[in-house]
Amino acid sequence: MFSSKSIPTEAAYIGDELIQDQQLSDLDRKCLVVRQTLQDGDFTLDEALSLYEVSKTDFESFIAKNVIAELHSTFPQMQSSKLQAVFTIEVLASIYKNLFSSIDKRSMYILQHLQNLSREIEEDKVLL
Amino acid sequence: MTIKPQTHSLTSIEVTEIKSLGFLFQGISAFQDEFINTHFANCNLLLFLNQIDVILSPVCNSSINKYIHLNNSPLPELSIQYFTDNYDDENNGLALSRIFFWQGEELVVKHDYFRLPASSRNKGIAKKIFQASLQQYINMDVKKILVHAALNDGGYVWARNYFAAINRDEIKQILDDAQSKLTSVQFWAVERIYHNYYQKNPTGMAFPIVKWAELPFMKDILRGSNWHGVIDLQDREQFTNFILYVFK
Repeated sequence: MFSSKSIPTEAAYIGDELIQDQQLSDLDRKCLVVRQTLQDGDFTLDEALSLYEVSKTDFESFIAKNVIAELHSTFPQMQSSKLQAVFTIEVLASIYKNLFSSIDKRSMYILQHLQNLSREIEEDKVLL
Repeated sequence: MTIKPQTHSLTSIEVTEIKSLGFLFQGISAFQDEFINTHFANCNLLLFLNQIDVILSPVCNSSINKYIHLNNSPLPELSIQYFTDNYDDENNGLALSRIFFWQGEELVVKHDYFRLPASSRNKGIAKKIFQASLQQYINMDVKKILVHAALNDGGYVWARNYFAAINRDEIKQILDDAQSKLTSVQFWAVERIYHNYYQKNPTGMAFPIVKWAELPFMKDILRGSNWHGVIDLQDREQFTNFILYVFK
């Protein structure tokens, strides 16, 4: 058994190596923390973005990537990309309908467009 | 990414194989398989030690000391130690120490010591050890991973690795240090995170110090900090973040 002369610790370079090997970019890490501070009520969105030096566009893109990842994770691996695309469009239409149809008088145009796109993908008129 | 738990029952033959790998059992001198199966169920110790040996033995030329320490008092403890004689040499030493022990009803593991020779750093070794370890933690139903974040930037690095801080007094010391070094606007943000957590969790033992670590102005303050951290493997968000960097 050893007894270290210094404080026995997990060396910092071990942690650094883990960070370097990870699939999260520095921006993703910051966005994750921004989201966490918002969920925990630490800061407003503007405060958090300013403190962590994240642009609104980057944060929106991060949230979108997460939603897309969540959507993709619901598909069984065997399903075709066409079915995935159609399902995703239907989910997007449902999100829009739920959030904005009561306040957006022109929501029907967007919903109609999504419906057309979905049909064209099904009929192979739009190639993926 | 999900890691499925695997069942395992250690046999006396496996104990013999562990000894043939060069590991010395200390503490409990007989029926080590029974002790491990009773108190550290589903630990595939032979596989785990073999993985450690395969990953770490090529990184040094000198002989390696290998110990398994089993202790039954006051609570069951299993300690794995793997180190070269020069383990205290910051540039050339090799040391790995993991201690499994019971905290009440919960099995926890302390990441006690991990040092690699300078020539073997940044070659993916740490990740391989973490991957092998995590499978055993899931098998054994380990609830928490503990680490002492200190020395040479450890306070900053382990915060960025999603370890949460256990001890409020240690966090208060960092807060006080921040007050003396930051502008009032910067300190406002740091204090806000602190107060918001402890107001909601007066006896909280998992301060999300990563929120401080990602603030650009906190990097130097955390580099010199000293705190005890935890990854709660039952906390979905913390576990998911941890998995993200251990498994690619």
